[in-house]
Amino acid sequence: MSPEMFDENVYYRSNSRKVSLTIVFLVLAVLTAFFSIFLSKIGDLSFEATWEILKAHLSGTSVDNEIHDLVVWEYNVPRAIMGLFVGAGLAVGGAVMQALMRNPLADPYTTGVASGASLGAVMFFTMGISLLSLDNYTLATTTNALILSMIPTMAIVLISQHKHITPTTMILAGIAIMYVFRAATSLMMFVADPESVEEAYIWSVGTLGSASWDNIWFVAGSVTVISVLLLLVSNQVTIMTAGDRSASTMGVWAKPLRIICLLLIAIMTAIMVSFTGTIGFMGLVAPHIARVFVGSNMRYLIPCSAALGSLILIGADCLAKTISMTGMPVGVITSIIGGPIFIILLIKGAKKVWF
Amino acid sequence: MSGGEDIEVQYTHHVQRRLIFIAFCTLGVILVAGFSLTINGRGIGFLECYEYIINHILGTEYPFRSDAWFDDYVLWNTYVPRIVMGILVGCGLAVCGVAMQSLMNNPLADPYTVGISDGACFGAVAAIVTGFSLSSVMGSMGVVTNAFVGGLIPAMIIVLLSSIVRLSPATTILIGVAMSYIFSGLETTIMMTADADTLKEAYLWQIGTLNGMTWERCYIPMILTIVGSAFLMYSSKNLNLLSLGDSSAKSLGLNVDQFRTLCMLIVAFLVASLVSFVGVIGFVGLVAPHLVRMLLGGDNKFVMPASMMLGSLFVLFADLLSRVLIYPGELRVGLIISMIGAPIFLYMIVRKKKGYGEVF
Repeated sequence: MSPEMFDENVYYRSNSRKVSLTIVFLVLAVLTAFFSIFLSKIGDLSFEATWEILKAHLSGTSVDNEIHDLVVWEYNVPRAIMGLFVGAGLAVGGAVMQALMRNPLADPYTTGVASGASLGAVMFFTMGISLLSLDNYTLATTTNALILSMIPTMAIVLISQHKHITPTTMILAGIAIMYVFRAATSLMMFVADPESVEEAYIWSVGTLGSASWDNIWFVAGSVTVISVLLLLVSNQVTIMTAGDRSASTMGVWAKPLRIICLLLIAIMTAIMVSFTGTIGFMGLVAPHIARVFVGSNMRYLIPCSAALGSLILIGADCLAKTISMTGMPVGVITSIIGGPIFIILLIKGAKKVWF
Repeated sequence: MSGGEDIEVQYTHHVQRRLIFIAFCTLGVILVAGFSLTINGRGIGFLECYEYIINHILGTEYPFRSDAWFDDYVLWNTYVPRIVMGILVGCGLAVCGVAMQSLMNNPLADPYTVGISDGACFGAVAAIVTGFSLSSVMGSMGVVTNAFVGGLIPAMIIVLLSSIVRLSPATTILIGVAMSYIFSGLETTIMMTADADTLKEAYLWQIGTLNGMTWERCYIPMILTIVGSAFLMYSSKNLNLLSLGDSSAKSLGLNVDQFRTLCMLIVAFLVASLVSFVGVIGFVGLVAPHLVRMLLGGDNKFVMPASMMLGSLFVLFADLLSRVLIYPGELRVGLIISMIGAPIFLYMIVRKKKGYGEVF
């Protein structure tokens, strides 16, 4: 047996381990999502009743109790599916952004992209301002979110051109942008309708409660398409973590690729945010845990982050559902979990260089 | 000989400029307060307001239930406390901002960006919602002590961390931001487990307001602000030493660790007392000292009083805006301040700058 053969075997074995780990996480995420359907405090829904309703819907028969049917099929099931896709989308966005900007702290939330999108969405549903003057509710919200999420995206691209900007400064700028947008969002909520503060709050922390069959297709479709697109360029993105100049010598067109990827992430984030508000720190936590298991090769990191992101978000949602009778916004849980992890990353970053 | 005189003349010139600045800010505070008082729903004019206040302080009695008596009653009990609280908030937050910036050698530090405000807010909310007080004192003092403990957590974590790891100013602020997220998450959890409808309250708590202020609520912040800012002003020379860096300050005879801990305690107490009564108001401690330093230079002896006056002016002006913009409705003053303060914060981060402290 020659040494080359041996090395190759080790390589393949470690790859198959990465793939199987990803599959395990994915299965766990789907199981948790399934479990979360059974968690509902509304009405006197028992475990069996929920199961009956699910079975009835899957086999096409009708259900007797309409309220129970509404709770389970129109509310809990879309919520679980939304959780799966939003978790995956945010995690993929975070993983790719971290690699593109060579910044362990980047994600759609810390760079301000999500807050820009949030302002756009709020602009439409409180003031009725549509930047492209569209009538369709979903389309107008999303296009608004999309247009305004471009501001922080462009700001990031511009700021990252400066050589003296460190990863921490970059994120600090993102957070300052977030403060600006958040203040504008709150202002809009206040001016539009004094009673809508509760809505404003739920939006500013992020919730899965507004999921319905009408909007999950939109989210699921965009997350799937954009994740696949990002997966297609994953090898190039991996090379870009070596720095722009090295990437160029290896035949990767670094700058345009970065802008295209950031735009794709902005689009995905805008669509997710229009339906869930800003759920914090997901794109930060999931990729970092995934990196422990599968390393920094984007080809494995993207799918694994996606699976873990779904798992974490759905888990947090289960927790949110059990803690409070009325359903706490899931963003509260993610920021309680994500905040400390963010701090640990910061301190680690102060000690050593990333990558 | 003539050179020496020049320096003297220059110095007095500088001092004069600083005093003039402070005088202008004070004048601004008085004028804005007057404008703010004219929005009183009773049609009392600009000059009449001052007249009523001066007469009240001098102890003039009006015939019971006469027009003047009502005017005086409404003005003194609903609108004047609001102005007083606005001035206290401006002074207190600005002085804390100046102190923290020198203590941490970080131009971006202030009670809000480092997470002290949100920690204090969490403590206060915990006291109000669950009735749980860490001290045996109940009532508003119990709320303040809780807020103090809550505000102390982020302050101490940052002091400890910066003594273990070398943190850049930007990293320090990011840790503060992360802590403020954790605290506001915890706060919502407490609010929601207590009562499903209090979500709205939890949100409103996070945006400060001066609405509905009464004299009773002004007393504790007033005492703590006066005592706290007097101490910090008194130690402004030591703060100047600290901005030379820890080792230089030590070699000049300052017990750095002790002084820093003491100052942070005072800052936490001051912020706690303000947050317990008005909620979180951000960026005042960042914007006011920054502007003052730009105009008057970095000597804390002048930066402190000037920032206090400018901070009050800023808060009162924002409060006036919050009442005028959607009249007869009212916005929250914390909102207006973030609208103005957040862009300035962004500018401070992004611009390339040398001079006071090295940011990055």
